[in-house]
Amino acid sequence: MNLVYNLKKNKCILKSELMDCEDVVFRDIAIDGGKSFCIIYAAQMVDKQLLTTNILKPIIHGELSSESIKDVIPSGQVEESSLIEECTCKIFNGAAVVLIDNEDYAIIIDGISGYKNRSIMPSEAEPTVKGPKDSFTESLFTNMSLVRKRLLNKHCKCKIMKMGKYTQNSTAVMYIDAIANAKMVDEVFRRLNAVKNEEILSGNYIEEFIADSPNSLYPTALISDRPDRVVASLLDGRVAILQDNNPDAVIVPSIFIDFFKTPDDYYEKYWVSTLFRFIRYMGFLVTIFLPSIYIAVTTFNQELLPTSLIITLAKQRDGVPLPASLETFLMYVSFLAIREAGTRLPRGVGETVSIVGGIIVGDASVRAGLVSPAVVVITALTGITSFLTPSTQLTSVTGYLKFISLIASSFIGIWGIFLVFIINMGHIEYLRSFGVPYMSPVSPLVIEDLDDLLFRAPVWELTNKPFFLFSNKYKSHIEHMSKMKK
Amino acid sequence: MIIIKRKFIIVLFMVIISLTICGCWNHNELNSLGIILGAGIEKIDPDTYEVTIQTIKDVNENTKDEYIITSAKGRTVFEADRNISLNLSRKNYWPHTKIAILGHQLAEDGILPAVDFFIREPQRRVNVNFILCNDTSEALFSSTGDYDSVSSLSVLKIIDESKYNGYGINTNIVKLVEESESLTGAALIDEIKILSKNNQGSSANMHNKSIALNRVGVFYKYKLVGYIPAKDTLFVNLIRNNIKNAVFPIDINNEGKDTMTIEISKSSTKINPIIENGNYIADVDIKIKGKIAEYSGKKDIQKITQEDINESFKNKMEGGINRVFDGAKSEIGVDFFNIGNKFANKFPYLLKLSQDEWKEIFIKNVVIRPHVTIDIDYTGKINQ
Repeated sequence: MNLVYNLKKNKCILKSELMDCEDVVFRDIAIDGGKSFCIIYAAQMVDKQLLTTNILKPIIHGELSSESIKDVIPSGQVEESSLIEECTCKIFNGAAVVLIDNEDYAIIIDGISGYKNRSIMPSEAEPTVKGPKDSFTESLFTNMSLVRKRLLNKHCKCKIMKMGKYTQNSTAVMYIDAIANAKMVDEVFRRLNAVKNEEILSGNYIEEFIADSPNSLYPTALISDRPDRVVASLLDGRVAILQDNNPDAVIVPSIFIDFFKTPDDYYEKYWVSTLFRFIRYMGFLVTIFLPSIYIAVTTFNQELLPTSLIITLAKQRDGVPLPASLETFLMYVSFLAIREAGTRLPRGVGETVSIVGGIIVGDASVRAGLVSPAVVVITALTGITSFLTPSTQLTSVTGYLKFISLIASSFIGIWGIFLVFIINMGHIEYLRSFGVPYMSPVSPLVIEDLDDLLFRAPVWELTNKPFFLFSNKYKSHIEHMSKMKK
Repeated sequence: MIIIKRKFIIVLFMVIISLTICGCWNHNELNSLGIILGAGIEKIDPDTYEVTIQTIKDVNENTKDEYIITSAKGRTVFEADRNISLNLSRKNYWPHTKIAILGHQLAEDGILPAVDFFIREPQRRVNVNFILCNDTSEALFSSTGDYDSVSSLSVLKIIDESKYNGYGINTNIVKLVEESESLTGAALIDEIKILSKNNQGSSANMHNKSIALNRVGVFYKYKLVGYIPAKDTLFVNLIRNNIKNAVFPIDINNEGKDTMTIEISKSSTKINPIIENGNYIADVDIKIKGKIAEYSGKKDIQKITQEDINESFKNKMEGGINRVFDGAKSEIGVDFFNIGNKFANKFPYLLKLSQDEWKEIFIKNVVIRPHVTIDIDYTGKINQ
């Protein structure tokens, strides 16, 4: 619906559109020359000071005429619109809409929004020891500025689109057009447009909506709240999706090894990073398979253990009433319960729960002869190693895989573990992230990208070399993505 | 989509079937297993075997014993093993068995039943060490080692540590069968002696007894035919090229006693078999690297030359080899040096001979010509 040449009529239309929205203020101003204005804004969304000095005062004092208002109003973003839909949307976005008598358009004055934003804080999800500490906030424009100030190049593109029928959330798609594969960027827009009317409340919504295999355990889009990580990803040729009211950026495509990398990898010397990256890979495997290996070697394949170790384990299991598999399973469930309880509770109470869980459940259950000390050690060790995976997205995956391999090894011992491993590998091989094979650059082998996989190559090997997989140079795998998605 | 669903269902079906069909047939909790660390096999009479096992006691009681010794008899070794379950509440678990003690009677009558018992069943490992004992296997299991409270583990470590002296043979089943089935048909098995800790030897309490490497039994066609002293196995190991470390005292000044000790750190033996005029000559070239570990003679060591040391070492080493070799021919009559296999490698037609025919040749026609060279390392030496 469009505005008409009648101020009263326009006001009535907008009032009816904004019926029962009591936070919207309609301020009528009539100046000496007989010209009438109506300024409409959402009371809680604008800065009253700016509104008064930049809009109300100049209009009341007759400094602005209907002809000159657009050109001389002291605000950075002023535009005309005759669409009622756009006007209402802008009002709720913190803009002031000025209706003018005998004009069929409204002046939308942006840049006076006054709602409070969280200040830029260090990242809680991905803290680092060295390097920049800033992280994204809930303001899209703040987030964009954090990226922009690191990428002072015209090739860094940022396209903003509205998503959600009701939320009308601003969503920014950022990429470097000189590096990113154009087809991949198009595919990102295609998928986002396909879910344009969906209400998206967090980064995870976007990931689930646009991922290649949303039902898979494995994440195929990296979620990060660190601008430096987003910038590094853009330089690799990836696409970052940022949203208003959301401190997480969604980075696509993302492959398996991305979830083992941290920004710290690049802020430390390469041999330090290499060591810790290796420990993370080991931690991933230990988390998934150590409890199931314990079950396998204590109930099926006792010959696999060194004699001295099996003697120790046998002595520990003396008097334990539960089978090893059930014992391990119950301890794992207890650990999950303690972790979940500690996460949801306030910090002080959470710590108490952790202490109670650690000491009472662990130590007392061993003393009571309900579980063997080895199982407590394994549960605690895998609990620690599960947090070695830097991405919380992958931590939940390890939890599920650990549970599945526990069941498999309880039935058929070490073969169950092999079975889980093989099926899991087959599944990972099948996965794609925007057409890029999830296990690349290992499978398919891309030798040029192996220098940032198991080990982190020195920076002189990494700089000025966009990550090959996602760049324009490497097209063959991305060619299939449209077909796959269809 | 339908194809993917069908594939998924097939994979799911395969997983469920493999999980359920495989079942839990070999599911055993640790508490239900009697983990056997050592076993003894003896032939009581022509139709009766006795199997004695030492299982680990994993019950946390304040008792001194960490093991249980149980034995049972049967018409075969396997039956005797199964009969153990009549007086043991747990399932016998063999994969962790470290040693198998062969009784004296069994060794003389032939150890093939014991070999077959271990080879046929996959759970019983073929890396089990066969050993002999100067007493019963129960006595050996009851004795205590120096550090390990379980004698089976002690025996294994003693055999393993004996390599630093160059003594002992360390024979597992694979090695035993390999040697027994070769042209020579000879194999060696270590014998463990039970020592009294208080040197009185009359104590009734077995816990006061410890164990030591005693001598080595010589087997021909799986039957015990004689013994050689543990010290002589140094020369056997040298010819078999099986020396890692050894200690060899020599009489450097002809003082009538060994005054210098050479620590052998490396040894390499090459045997060149020659057949000349019906004589089987084995040129044994032994290259040894070592260092002077000790000198206690009266002569000023500054006046002892490298050549003196080399000469004394060479003479004593070659003398020892010749003595043991002559003993093997004349006293035992078995080629336990495995020289026959070296001849067979070079002259494959010899493989057509039976083990008895080679034994005959070994006693009558085989001559050994050892040639020992030693390279003494010392501080400040510069290799050119």
